[in-house]
Amino acid sequence: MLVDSYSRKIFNMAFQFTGSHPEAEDLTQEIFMKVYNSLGKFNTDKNFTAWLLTLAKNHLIDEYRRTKWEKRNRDDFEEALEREPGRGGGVEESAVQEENRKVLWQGLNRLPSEIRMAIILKELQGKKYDEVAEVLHLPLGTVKSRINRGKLMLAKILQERKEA
Amino acid sequence: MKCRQIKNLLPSYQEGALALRAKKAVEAHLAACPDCRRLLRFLKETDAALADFPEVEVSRGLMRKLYAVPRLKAEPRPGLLGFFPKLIRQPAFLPLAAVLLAMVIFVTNPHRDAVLKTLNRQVHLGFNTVEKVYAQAGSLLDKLNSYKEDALVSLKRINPLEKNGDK
Repeated sequence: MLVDSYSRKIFNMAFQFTGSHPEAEDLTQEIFMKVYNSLGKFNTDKNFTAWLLTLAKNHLIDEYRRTKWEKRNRDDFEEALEREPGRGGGVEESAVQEENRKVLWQGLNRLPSEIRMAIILKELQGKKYDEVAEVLHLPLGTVKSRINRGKLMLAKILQERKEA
Repeated sequence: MKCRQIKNLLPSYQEGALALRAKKAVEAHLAACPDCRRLLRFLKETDAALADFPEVEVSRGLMRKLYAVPRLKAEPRPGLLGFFPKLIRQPAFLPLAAVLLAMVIFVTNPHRDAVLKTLNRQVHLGFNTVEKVYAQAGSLLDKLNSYKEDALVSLKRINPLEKNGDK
């Protein structure tokens, strides 16, 4: 079923983009409403996952522009981790790595929405460049450039924080 | 190449995606530039931290809501019918509805010419009655004025002060 297959992916995308758990829950519901309302328009020759992620991406960016989440704080990183079952048990995490993740989690809010979305799809959702390009409806070169810019911005945020 | 150009190439260098010539240029620059070396180190740390970023489980509550979405979609959406209860609660709704209903009955009535004639006659009769009442009211007013003048004359006659020529 659609919900079983895609709820985790869409919810995580919304959570990583907004940084807010309740906001991500509301947005996930809205995205699924849109998906069910638009299923008739889906061209079966196309990639369904890319179509669904494009719809989700459009909704998230539209809502971001309407409400400007950047002004709000993101959820605490530890709280986000606590919601993930099994984490912290068998996996040995170095303290540095964990600290870096906290900084980057907060740093995501400082990226422009289009760059943040590209970073989320490529780095956090593990998509390939061409898959990201398909979701964002952008040329491959533009996607690579956005991701490179995003990574540099995040690396500078990490540097600022560590050298402060 | 300048630092700014090299910094822009660092993510691709880090990924091993640079052409040989560009790669050599970056490496030559890195050997001489501690700032760019430091940025490359943070870029590596960023890549490592993003690589295994935790994912969050979807709550049961949200899953229940998501399973209900297709059912919600099947229910009638609040279009014109959803707006109707609000419309009924408007104070002007009943008078407007009554006027509208009367108009509909009139327009769809097959004997509407006869009705129109009767209505016309009734309106004229009403207008004539109003005119008559108005004329009667005017004559009544004239009579009252004449009574008033007579009364004033009578009063002057019986006024003792005026009669004695009081000074």
